[in-house]
Amino acid sequence: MSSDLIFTFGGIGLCGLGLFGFIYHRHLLRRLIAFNLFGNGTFLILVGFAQQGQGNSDPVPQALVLTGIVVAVAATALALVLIRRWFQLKQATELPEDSQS
Amino acid sequence: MSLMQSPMPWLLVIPLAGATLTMLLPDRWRSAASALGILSQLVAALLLSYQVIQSGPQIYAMGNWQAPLGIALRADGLAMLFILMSALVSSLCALYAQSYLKAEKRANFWPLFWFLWASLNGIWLAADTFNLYVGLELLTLAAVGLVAFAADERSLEASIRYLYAALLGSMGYLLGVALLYGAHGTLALDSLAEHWHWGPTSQVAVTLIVGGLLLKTAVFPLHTWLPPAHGGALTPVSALLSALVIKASFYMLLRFWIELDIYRHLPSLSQLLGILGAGAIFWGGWMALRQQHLKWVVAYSTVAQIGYMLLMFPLLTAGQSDASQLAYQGGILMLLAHALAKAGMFLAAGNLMICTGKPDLQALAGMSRYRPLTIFAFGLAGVSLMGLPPSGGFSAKWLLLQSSLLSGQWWWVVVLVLGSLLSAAYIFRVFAYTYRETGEEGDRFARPALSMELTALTLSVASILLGFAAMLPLQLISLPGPLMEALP
Amino acid sequence: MNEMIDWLLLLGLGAVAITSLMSQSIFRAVVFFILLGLLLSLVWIRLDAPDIALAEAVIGAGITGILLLDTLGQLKKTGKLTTEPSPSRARLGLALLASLTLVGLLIWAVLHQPQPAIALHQQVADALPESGVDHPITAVLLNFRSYDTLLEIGVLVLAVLVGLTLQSKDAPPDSLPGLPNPLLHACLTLLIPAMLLTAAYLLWAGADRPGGAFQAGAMLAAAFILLHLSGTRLSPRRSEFLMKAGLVMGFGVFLAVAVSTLIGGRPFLTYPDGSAGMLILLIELALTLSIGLILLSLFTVAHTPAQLPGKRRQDEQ
Repeated sequence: MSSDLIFTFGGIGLCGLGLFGFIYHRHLLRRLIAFNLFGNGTFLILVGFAQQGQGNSDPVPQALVLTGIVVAVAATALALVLIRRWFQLKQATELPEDSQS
Repeated sequence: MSLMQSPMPWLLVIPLAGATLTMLLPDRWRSAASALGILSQLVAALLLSYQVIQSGPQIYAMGNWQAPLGIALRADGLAMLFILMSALVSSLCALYAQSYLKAEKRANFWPLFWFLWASLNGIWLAADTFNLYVGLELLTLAAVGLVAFAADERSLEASIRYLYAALLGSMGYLLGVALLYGAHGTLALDSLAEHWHWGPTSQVAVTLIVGGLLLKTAVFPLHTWLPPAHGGALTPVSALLSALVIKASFYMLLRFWIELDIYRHLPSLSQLLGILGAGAIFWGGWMALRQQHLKWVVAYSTVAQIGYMLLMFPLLTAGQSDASQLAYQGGILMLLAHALAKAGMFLAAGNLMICTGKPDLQALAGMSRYRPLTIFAFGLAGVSLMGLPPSGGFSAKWLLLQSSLLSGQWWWVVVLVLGSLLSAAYIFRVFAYTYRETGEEGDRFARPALSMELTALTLSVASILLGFAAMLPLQLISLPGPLMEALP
Repeated sequence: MNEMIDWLLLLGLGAVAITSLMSQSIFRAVVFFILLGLLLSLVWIRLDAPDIALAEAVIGAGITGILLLDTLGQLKKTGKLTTEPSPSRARLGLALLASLTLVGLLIWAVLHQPQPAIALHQQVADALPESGVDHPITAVLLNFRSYDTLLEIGVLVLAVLVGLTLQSKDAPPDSLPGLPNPLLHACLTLLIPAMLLTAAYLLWAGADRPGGAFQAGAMLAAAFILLHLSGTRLSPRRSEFLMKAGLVMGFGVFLAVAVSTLIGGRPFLTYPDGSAGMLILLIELALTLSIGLILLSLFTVAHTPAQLPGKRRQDEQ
């Protein structure tokens, strides 16, 4: 098997783990880590799967992943700012369960 | 002047420059700069509409690199309608915010507002799947920032909930895009449609894209993040979120659905979307009926109204051209009527809350005697949301109803009628509170600024006038273009 | 042999990911997440993507890791970490169902990959001579798909902007004490110039080799954060305007270059003939500095005490 295919499967595994953690956990930091796992898995699929199909290295998905990493770090940082404020206000690391809806 | 030749990039440049400038300028100049920006935005939007109407859909290659190597922008009739809609709603919300927010708060509002508008225009004009992802993320961060902007405990909780749901949604979308790229070797929508290969890979990709976008549109049962965010934000922000932001992911869903022929390949998914829509209509309406907080009533009404827009999908069926046309027109008109009516209703609700000083319905007692104008704005928006003639909401529901009958799917008629009764119930419930007598004599209510009353009223009146002038938007969205060609 | 390395890496990836997800201690979870970033860098090298390997190491593992650890430190100080609610049965079921469905669908999709109709990498190679740079990824990021990059910088600026908006104007300045360790300072005087040099190299290399504004900016940010931790304040309140100008400079320069060609009658984001290479370098220089400052601000913003939960009415007139 080519590296591309192997790590496409690796990406699928990371996506599965990330989605699991994102739904399973309630701790906001843990969910954020899970989101980043999901993101990393997506990036692996984006590059690995494309290169598997093309049969050689493809700069376009690689550039997209660079963009994606920066967007992910921006989103993570924003989430951390909000989490810290939430912690300061409520002394809690998770959101209350939905009471209605 | 290049604005005259190609107004398309200016629709992005102006808000992006607006965001940069309003971050750097001294606080007191920011409103003036924003006013200037809004005016030039309106001019650019009108110029581009004129071009599209005169000479058909416009393609613009960014950096002079043709798609699929580069990124193209595309303006067809549908994109134009959304650009005009966001121009109208955003500028009125900005006018409202100018009086509503304190000076210090306002200074921080403008850069976020401009980023929001830039991302919306970016999404309406985008013709590239990855570019849409970046646009969605820009929109998400701007919207979450605006929710958190109220800076109290509830809005903070709402913004975290919103951010997490939105991030998951965009990641699902991106995963779908990754699969599409691996299967087709392109990111551009046009070349995807041209080389569209329907197989397991595309099927899974489409499922992920649809799932991610449904989460971002807050479609029942993935709607739980919406009421706290839309109900807990500051009033002009609530209006922007309900009227425009959720429409962005819906718009993308619609484009993919039609341009990539998904309706032809996955008819069972169409029915599922219709069922989710029906669920949203009933659940959202029922929950709106049970809220005690005025803005939460309006927020749950958004959940229900998204349901009506979704009814368009099961009616877009291959082989039934007439029914599909009617469904497309009805769905878009529904969306437009909701944008106007809901923005008007949120602003009117904000005015009511300023009058009483309290957020809950109980406090409204006696309002109808002392503040008829504010109630009138709320009521007109309500007429359109209920779908009473002659409002825009009525014309939209009428089109959807005809389409259901024509395509033989009569069960959606039942949903439409029952849903309208439910919306009537939750809107009249609010009215019932305003007619209560308090026992106290005299006018003890505060008075919102005249500009705030007028902006709310303008939007509500527009949602009614849409019923008389429905032909204009319908002609605009039926202009020839890639979407119209792909429509069944 | 090579395939063996791949399988071993994959195994390591899985083990580290599961640990970082399910570890009892949240601290260990973060540490393993950073470790995962480093492993991923190796994976990216195996995927023939050295640019991403660099970015993953510096941004994915480095900056994200610092941000996470720092937040954790703050949570720990108040000692509220022990009371984590245990997730319910229903959540476990839903999570398992969702993730297994996703994995199943993805495997099915990957196994049925059709032959792509378009070979975009060929088009990139063909257009590369006109792009002004020799490195295809830099060409995609700053020329062919520069619009994406522009919006992406917008996302970064926006994240800082929201952080700054939530920060109170009259909060006392950062209470983080500088570390008074003379040895540390001695190390820093050596380390900081080395880091700045690396950043400059990465920026310069981007034109024809792996590297570029993002990696360089992240390196710069790492240097800034080290300085910050050692007690040197780069974001003094006095020069708030300068700081803000620095934050938006990259975005502003990028936008200005894009608009200048527009006014000259060419399409948005087009570089005039012959000056593409120079303009790209100019943009990258501004971007590097701004990205460094943005990432630093994302770190410091979180340190400043947030504004107190004001009563809602105060915001409204």
